[in-house]
Amino acid sequence: MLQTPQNYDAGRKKLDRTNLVWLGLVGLTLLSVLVGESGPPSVMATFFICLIVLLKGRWIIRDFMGLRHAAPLTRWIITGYFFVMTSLVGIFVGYLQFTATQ
Amino acid sequence: MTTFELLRSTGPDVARTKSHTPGSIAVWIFIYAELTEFAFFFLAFLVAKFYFPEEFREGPIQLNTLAGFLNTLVLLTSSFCVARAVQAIKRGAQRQTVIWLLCTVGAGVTYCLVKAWEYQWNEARGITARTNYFFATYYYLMFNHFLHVVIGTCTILGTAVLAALGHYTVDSHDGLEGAASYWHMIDLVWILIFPLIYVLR
Repeated sequence: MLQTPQNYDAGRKKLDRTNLVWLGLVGLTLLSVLVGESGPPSVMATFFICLIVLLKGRWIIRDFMGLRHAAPLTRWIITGYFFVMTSLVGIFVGYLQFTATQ
Repeated sequence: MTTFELLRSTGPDVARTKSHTPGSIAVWIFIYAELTEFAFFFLAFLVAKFYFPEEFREGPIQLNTLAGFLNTLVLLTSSFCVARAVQAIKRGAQRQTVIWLLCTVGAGVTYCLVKAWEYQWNEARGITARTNYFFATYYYLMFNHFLHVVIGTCTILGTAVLAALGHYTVDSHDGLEGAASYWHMIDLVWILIFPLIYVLR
């Protein structure tokens, strides 16, 4: 199929959002490293890093994977998996940090 | 709309908006199976962390965080490249599709090189899989993810060759979307591995 001005413009719009998502992901990665390395481990830092991970996962699933407009079940399974695994890691690590300070 | 989407897309929302699930149902079942495998690895890591808290407290401090950080950037960039490749084929831009796919392959190779540097860095400090339980689980998880990156890189290289040969078109590119989804899954898993191993202590 030839590249018409209409579908080229549509592609450009998507690329713009893709650029922003990539920049956001890089920025959040930097932020999570800064938070992790800036001081002694704490429950608050763990909670904040897990929030960053969830946001990064959401952007990858919806924008990079292209599941924003996918069949709901496909999107829910992968979103649910990521939410459950990240929460599990956060709760577990947070619990160990909390008990270590008691 | 494919049969898979017809099976999955039910409810009033579907009638209002056009639903599109990238790839085929076989690819998604494969992706869910891979994610389940990684879920067991995460659980094993957490259980080991519970039983050997001292080793898991001291272990991450000895790791090369820069290597982990660099590989995070490389994988995020690779996901960006493969997402652009899918966008390009949807516009019918075959040459751009091939270029973005080759960029993804380049990122996959870069990941492997950084990982090799990290393993060498560990070895120079006397760190091996037998050092303690933390490093045993670290190597187990890392090497497994590394294998997935190698498989993903070969798959993306295959799709790049097929794209160059004109196998994919605007209307028919399920194979490319499936490979891209698999690659994004690898990135998604790393997003959780990175803080779990390197950052959260």
